[in-house]
Amino acid sequence: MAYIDYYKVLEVDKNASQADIKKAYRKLARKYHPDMNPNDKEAEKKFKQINEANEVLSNPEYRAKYDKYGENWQHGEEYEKAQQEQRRYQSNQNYGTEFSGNFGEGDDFSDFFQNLFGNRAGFSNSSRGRASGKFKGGDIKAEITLSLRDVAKTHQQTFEINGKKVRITIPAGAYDGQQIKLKGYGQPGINGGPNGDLFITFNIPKDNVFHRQGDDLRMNVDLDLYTAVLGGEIQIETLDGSVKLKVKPETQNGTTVRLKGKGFPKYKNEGEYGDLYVKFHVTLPKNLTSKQKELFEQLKNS
Amino acid sequence: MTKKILIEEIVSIYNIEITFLDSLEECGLLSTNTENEKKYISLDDIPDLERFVNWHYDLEVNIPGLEIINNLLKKIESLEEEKKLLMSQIGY
Repeated sequence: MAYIDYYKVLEVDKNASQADIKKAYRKLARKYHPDMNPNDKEAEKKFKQINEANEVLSNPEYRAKYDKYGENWQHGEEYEKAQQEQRRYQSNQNYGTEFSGNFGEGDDFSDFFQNLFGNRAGFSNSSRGRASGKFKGGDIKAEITLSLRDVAKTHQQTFEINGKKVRITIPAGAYDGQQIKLKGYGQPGINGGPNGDLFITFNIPKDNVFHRQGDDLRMNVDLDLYTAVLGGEIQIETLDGSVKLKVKPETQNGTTVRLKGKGFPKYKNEGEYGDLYVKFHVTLPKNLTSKQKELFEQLKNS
Repeated sequence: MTKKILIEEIVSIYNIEITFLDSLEECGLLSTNTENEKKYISLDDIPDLERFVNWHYDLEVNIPGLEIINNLLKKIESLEEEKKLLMSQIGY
């Protein structure tokens, strides 16, 4: 756990007045506010750091403690107590394995802050600003990792978020980076306010075999020299099972053939599919016997 | 029927001035409904309102600034969507 220089975070010097701190905080908050930097995780991280620095430096009691113990936080009077709090705090952090990025209140503060000042439920005026969490519950952002093969078929997935079971239908053809919104599945509202929303982003890593381009798929298939030269039939594995593919005689290395309708399902267009492009990679025989070498010599001179 | 909330309640919950809500309405950033001479805001508009409250009171952005930011963010959002779609088409 590293020491955090809050003065450096807010770009002010150690003698900065409360007015200087407020001014510096506002300036940086405008720059890094999550609303002004949509989907920018770095800005979000920076915004949290700025808020934390402001939380400490704008509070005279915290600031005095930080100035006194900051760099030697391990000797701070709060240290022992805070350690216990920290352990309790950590035991509450238990998210599903498939999820990452639950941006609830829990991860607003750094370990450094928690060790020095103990656990706090959230920033005094919320990390997102004075209005958030006063009436409408906070939004939750989550990421779900799905394989390309998972999203080749419409399927349902159940998961648990904040103790609530959520069942969603993931339509075939969903794409990487796509975000869906589940209204009312965020943090509960306060004073009769509406619940926040749950935003789920699909993270679909690259597949080893199929390369997706929109609704089309591309794949490379090895083709032995003899079938490439003489033509024939090979078996290939598509997304929905194996198919026989005719190979024309004298097929050149790098030739691409199109299999209509064997690609990826079109999003929200049930029964419609893209195409599958198969690129042949002709492999040359290895470890030839002397008889085979002789035959190649004959071919060469024919 | 969409749930709604009285303007006066909004003012007290968020501790804001009613003139701020009037200004938002005037420039088209907020819509209200009037029933029995009382003004209401739809709960569906609360997320937008919270954003404007944060930008105005925390970041000290004035009303024309809110309008500009709102327009630019909408533009960014549609560009992001377009980018995602194009990236999926080229198989990035």
